[in-house]
Amino acid sequence: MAIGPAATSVSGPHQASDADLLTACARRDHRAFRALVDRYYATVYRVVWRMTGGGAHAEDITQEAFLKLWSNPGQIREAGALKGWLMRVASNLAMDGFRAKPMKDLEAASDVSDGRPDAEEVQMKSWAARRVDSAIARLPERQRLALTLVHFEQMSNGAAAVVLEVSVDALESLLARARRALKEELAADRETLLEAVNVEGQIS
Amino acid sequence: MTRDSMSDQELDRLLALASKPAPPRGAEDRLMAKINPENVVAFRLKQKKAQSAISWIAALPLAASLAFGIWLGAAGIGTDILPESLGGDAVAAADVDVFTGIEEAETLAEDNQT
Repeated sequence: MAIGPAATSVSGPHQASDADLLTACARRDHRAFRALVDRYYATVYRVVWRMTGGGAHAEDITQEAFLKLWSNPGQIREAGALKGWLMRVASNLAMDGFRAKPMKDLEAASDVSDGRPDAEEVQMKSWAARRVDSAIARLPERQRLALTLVHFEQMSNGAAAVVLEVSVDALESLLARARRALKEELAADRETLLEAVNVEGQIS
Repeated sequence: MTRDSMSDQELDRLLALASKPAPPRGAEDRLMAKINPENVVAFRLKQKKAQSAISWIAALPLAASLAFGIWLGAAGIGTDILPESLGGDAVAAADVDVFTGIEEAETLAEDNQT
């Protein structure tokens, strides 16, 4: 399982470029694939988790996206587009799965008190997180994906537009509608949620 | 702006409350296990062939024994060693009345009518 010469031109697979790692993956180099997994797995998982509303099958979907990469690394023409390709494949898989299985209600999950002195504050923070998660989960899926990529994964509007296969203008429209919908959804609990933000600041 | 309307800054502060999920522990290792050829159970073709040859070898004496038995039967050799009960006369000698009891049944039926 030797990593290829392109990837060994630097000190190790974890420092190699995406292009070198993809080339090595095409030669069935497991260490190169592991380096890509270590580089992007958490990011892809977070997007899938958000798109499935915290679904238990987020891991399966994330793995399926990476297995598609492993089965044919040559399908990625530009190594610079790898992250976007993974995001697109994973989010499409998640949206297909989401249509088949209804999303679980994040807000319905129960709080568990840990008995510590600040348990009430922690519980409040937990409730606020679930309230926000639930509001995001209620967004139409393309608005949710746009918000996730840009707000939570700090992708540029251009890169997120490529993932969604829309123009930058269309992406900005999706973002604006998502934010407007969230404001309306969270308005009823605005004061309590902002209080939770202050608690969050005190705890962290 | 109404009392309940929310500014962009406030929304950003609320979005900061959203969960930041981490992959389950060992998820990357489970993925790597899926592509690792060491986890693939190879089909053991050689052993299968050997088992097949052994079963054919075991079948040869059985087939020879069967053929020999048929030949003996056709040639009439060794029929005197069979027990008498397997002969054709045993069934012919049986008395049907012993088994049926029809006569007693008819007598009983006549008694009941009278």
